Amino acid sequence: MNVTLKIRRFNPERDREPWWGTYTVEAESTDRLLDALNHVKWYQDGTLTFRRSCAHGVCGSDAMLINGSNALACKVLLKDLGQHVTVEPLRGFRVIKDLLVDLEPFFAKYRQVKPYLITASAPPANERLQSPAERERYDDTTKCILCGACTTACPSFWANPAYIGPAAIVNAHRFIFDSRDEGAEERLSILNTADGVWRCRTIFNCVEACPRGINVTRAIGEVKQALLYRKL
Amino acid sequence: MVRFFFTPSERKQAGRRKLERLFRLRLAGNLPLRQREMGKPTEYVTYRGKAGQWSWLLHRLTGIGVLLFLLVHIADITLIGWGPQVFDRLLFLYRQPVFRLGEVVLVAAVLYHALNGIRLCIIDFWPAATAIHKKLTCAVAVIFTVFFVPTALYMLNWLMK
Repeated sequence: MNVTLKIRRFNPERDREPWWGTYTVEAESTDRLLDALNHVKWYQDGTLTFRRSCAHGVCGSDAMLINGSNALACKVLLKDLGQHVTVEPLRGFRVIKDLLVDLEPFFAKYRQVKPYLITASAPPANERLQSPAERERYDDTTKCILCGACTTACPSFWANPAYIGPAAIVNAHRFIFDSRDEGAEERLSILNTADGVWRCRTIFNCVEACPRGINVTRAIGEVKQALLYRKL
Repeated sequence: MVRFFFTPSERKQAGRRKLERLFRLRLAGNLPLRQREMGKPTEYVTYRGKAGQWSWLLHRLTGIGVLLFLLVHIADITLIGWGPQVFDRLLFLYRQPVFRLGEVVLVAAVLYHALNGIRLCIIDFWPAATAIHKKLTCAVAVIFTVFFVPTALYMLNWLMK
């Protein structure tokens, strides 16, 4: 099948305004969008810039706005997109070039929620043990690959870039509800600010966008509950 | 170094950015694209979200609509302070076809905002309900239709005559 790709191009060193580049690619219907983008870059226009690494939906590098909604280019099949595909960079971040955005503010918010084990007690002689039920409690939020699809799909984030965003809350949830972790209070107080969890309007765009199928809105809801009732 | 003198275009740009911050708009042209501050208003409709996004947008719009009506309503109720005659004289306004159609829209807005608000409360208080949020949205649509259609028909009865 022939696929027409309409790609939002912008080179801040050369262009004053972003523009649309149109490319026609011969591809199999079972090819992924990333294959088509690679074809453009390798055989048609080498200046096209996008980020990709593992190309198998694990590293979270190639999240972009595909036909109007966020997804990983390496997980979307061309047959599900039709013959005309529009590709744009993620919203809400500075465009470095073409489909490449500066995710530094995104990772700054990730670091803000202290995404590492915090303990005050002395370490035990062996491992810190956990029952399967305790592990199950936060299983959903361990799946996050930090691709940024949820945060940049969130209308609250578009309106207010200071909002900490669904991805950071998901990663806070992963530690807040971990029975081995003792830093819940710190993280909850970070999330209890004006730009914390309360900016969530339960719009579910994050849930639709998440390539890992995480129920993000539920995780945010559980953090809200933990703050409301002050219990985990 | 602190600058005290600015060119007219710089002053204009600064003024626009002030307005942008105040009203959460984008007026200053190309600048926000490089140093992104706020989303374009069109982003709320050009992103292809699903039921959740549209029900949120409608919730906002109906909320603003009802608020504007309430402001008008406070103004017309205030007239009773000048006596019943003054108040009655204004009521002819609400009998105009435009206002009678507007009343139907108002009922729709209040009904939708209330039902969708209940849905949001359910999701906020029972996060497990996120698993069935699409069914809840459908329920809002069904209950809305059941209540709104007969009400609208009753309210628009005068049109048929």
